[in-house]
Amino acid sequence: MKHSLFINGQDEIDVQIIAEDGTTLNLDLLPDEVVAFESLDRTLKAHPVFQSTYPNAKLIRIDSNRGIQEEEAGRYYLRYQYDAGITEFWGHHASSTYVDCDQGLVGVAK
Amino acid sequence: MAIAGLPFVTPFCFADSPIVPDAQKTPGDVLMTDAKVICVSGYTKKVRDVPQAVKEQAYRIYGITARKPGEYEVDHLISLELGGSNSIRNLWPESFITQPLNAHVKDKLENKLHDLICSGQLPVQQAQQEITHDWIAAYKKYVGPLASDAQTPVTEKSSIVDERPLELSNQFGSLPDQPDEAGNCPSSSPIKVSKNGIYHVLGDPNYEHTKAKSCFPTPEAAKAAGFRAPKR
Repeated sequence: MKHSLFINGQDEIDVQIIAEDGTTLNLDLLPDEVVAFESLDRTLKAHPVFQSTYPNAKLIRIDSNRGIQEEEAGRYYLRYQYDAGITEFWGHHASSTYVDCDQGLVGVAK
Repeated sequence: MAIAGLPFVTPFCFADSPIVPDAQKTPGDVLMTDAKVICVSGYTKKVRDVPQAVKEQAYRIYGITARKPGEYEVDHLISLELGGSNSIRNLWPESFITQPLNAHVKDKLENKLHDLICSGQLPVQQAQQEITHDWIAAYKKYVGPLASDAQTPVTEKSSIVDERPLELSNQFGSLPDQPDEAGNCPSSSPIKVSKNGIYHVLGDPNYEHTKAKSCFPTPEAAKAAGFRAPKR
């Protein structure tokens, strides 16, 4: 579903909330999920390799996979449109913040 | 479980292998609709791998709590080479071992659709819609009849195949062996089949760096299973 959700100033983000049983929920993100997506997006945008690899990246789609633990890579899915195409990242809470542009992983410390 | 009137064998008595995804759980998800992008050689290598936690969640969603090595792959409903995404909405555990429908059969369809897209004979969106709507119907439309269509139907748990040990499977020419986690094939079955459905023999320049999705004892067995040699 299309939400006029603002994540770090980006709107018109396609938001998918995936329940534990795999069905898609017609709900809003929980406040903690919004905070997590904002943090993941901010971390990526601040990373020099991300900036150079994905110039002018704009967040266009997010999935909140509620069946996956917060600490597991894949809890959050982020899709970006950038100058040369589209890319995907998997986000999660980690013991320390990191970005791995090769694997498409981003972790943020809670 | 018989799908759309197509009976199939569950070779090792593992019933309910999800040959077709549940549309509520796996509606399909598109990343890319630009043929110019997906037809570039090596496109799928640039697309992400799916994290293990997401694969495990796909198994849980389908109620698969135990599995044997090589029994399933977490497959993309709209494959990466057709512009599919890695969202869990596009993933489901597909059996490698059910007959006649399995992940290898779907791979053949994906390769055919990719060829049609890249030769300008099929719009990307149409391929994505058809494989999402009913991949078995799309297979029959674009690849041809299933092997079972010309055979006497077999019923679940009624065939001798049900009792067949895995290690004998290649004597029947139907079931491949599985590679190890690094994508290497056993010496008894050294022919590597890539995710693009191309088989590579020892000595092939691409052999060493090919990460096998399945393995066959001979090139003939790989060919008989529907895979092709590299184009020279």
